[in-house]
Amino acid sequence: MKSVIKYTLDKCHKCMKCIQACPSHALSMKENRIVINTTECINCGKCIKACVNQGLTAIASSLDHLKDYDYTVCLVPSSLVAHADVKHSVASLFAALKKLGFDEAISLSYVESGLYQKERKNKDSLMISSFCPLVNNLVKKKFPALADSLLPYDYPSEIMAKELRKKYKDINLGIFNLCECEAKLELAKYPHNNMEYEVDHAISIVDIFPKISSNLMETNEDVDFDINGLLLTCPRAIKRNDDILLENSYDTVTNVLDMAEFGLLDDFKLLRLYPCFSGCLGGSLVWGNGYVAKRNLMRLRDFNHEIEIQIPEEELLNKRMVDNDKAGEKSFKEKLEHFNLVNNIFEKLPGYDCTACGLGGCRIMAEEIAKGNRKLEDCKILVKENKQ
Amino acid sequence: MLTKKYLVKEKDYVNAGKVSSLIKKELKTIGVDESVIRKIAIASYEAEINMIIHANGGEIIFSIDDEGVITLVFADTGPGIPNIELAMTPGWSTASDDARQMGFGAGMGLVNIKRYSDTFDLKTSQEGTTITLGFKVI
Ligand code: SF4
Ligand code: SF4
Ligand code: SF4
Repeated sequence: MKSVIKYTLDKCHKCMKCIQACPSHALSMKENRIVINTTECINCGKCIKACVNQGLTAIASSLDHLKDYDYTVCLVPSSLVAHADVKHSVASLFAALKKLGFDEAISLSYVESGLYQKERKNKDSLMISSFCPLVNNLVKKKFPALADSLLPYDYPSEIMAKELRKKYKDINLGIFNLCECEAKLELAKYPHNNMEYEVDHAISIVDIFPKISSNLMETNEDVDFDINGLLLTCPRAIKRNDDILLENSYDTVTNVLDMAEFGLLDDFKLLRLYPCFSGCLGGSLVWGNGYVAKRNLMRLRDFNHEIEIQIPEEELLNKRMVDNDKAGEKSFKEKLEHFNLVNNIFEKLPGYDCTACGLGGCRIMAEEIAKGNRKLEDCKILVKENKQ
Repeated sequence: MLTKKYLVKEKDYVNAGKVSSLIKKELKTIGVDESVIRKIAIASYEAEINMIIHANGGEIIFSIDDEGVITLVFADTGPGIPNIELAMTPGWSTASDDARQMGFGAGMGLVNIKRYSDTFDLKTSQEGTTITLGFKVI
């Protein structure tokens, strides 16, 4: 996991709103600037929303890189297709994308639909769908006991990219994925140097949407997509079995994972979790709003057909190395000693979790003091109380 | 050695599972292996719910010693379990109707608790029931 978030202000208002919003305590304030702990960040984007001064932003790649390749393909997520509610508007959307400079624009709905059919066939024990990088990050960081329950399938963008690499194997091919959220910006070689991915560039939809919309015009070109794949981006639109549990907000998702960890959801076969409102339609880098997009999807439902996926099972799997590095981990005794040390410091702190110290709360302060990075006197409340 | 004591109130369904959540959080902060956390979470949740449903609440004591043994004691002042053999039969439940409506009390309680813990001890009398669970971390 790598953070895609960047702090951009020279002068901060020091409202600490981002620090309070961060569920991973990945942010702190040092010398009047926000510092991001890039290994703790799960790319949820909450800090971006929390800052009223646009001080935090997600870094995406740009279309300038189109010129680096001989042939370029644009991967189109279903949430973007949902800007249209009739098929010929979908066709003009794809034509508009090509006018940006792509040689080809292809819908991810085929892959999504194939994954959907596979997921529904799961009849073993409780599994968690693995298409949302934020859910994957959450599970790995905060609910590690559930990591084995993640389905083994790769991201739709990666599966599609692998297919394209096979198809155009002798060409200098550039694959660009249009992303709906901060978490997806991590799933490409650039701009975050994650070379283990097949997709080359992660593009933010909001960054290019104005250009797309100025390119929109009538077209004679045809377009194809799989309706099941499209609907999959929106939980409330999916046909669903009783044994599939759907949720679509960050808090409900963490609540569901918490219950699953207690073994309370074992009657379900699949947890389809979308941290965003209305699923990926409500992703923070999507242009427009999820309500309209959802209605559009419902209208598109009548226009298209289902396509049986042709990709072999083997190629649907996520084979990137998991960073499950337990070597160099402390012994239990050392861990417990550290915990007790932190606890003792924690008990000396006021416990207000006010973040005035520039850290995510008293517990984090205690951790930092234990590590020698801060002192008790750095707690603003303690200092004030001692003066009185 | 680390010891923490938590109170569980009678029929406090709204807060059901809160102590187990706190314990789970502590275990994650310490960095206990996830497979052990899972076992403790499931056993602890069941036992906590049992205290709320069947007994009049009580206290939960959570401790870890330096050797890596985690002990959970669930001590209630309820009516005791009249027939332990029956209570240890899979599928058996005496959950009250209001508990059932909340979705608790599948009746797997004690069997599950025993299955997920490394050591299991149960003492019961008319003055109350004490369940002591042990888990080995390393
Ligand atoms: S993206 Fe989420 S996890 Fe990362 S720093 Fe922002 S709030 Fe924290
Ligand atoms: S649900 Fe939200 S965070 Fe997850 S993949 Fe979709 S847009 Fe991204
Ligand atoms: S009470 Fe002190 S240590 Fe706790 S968050 Fe506030 S300033 Fe930081």
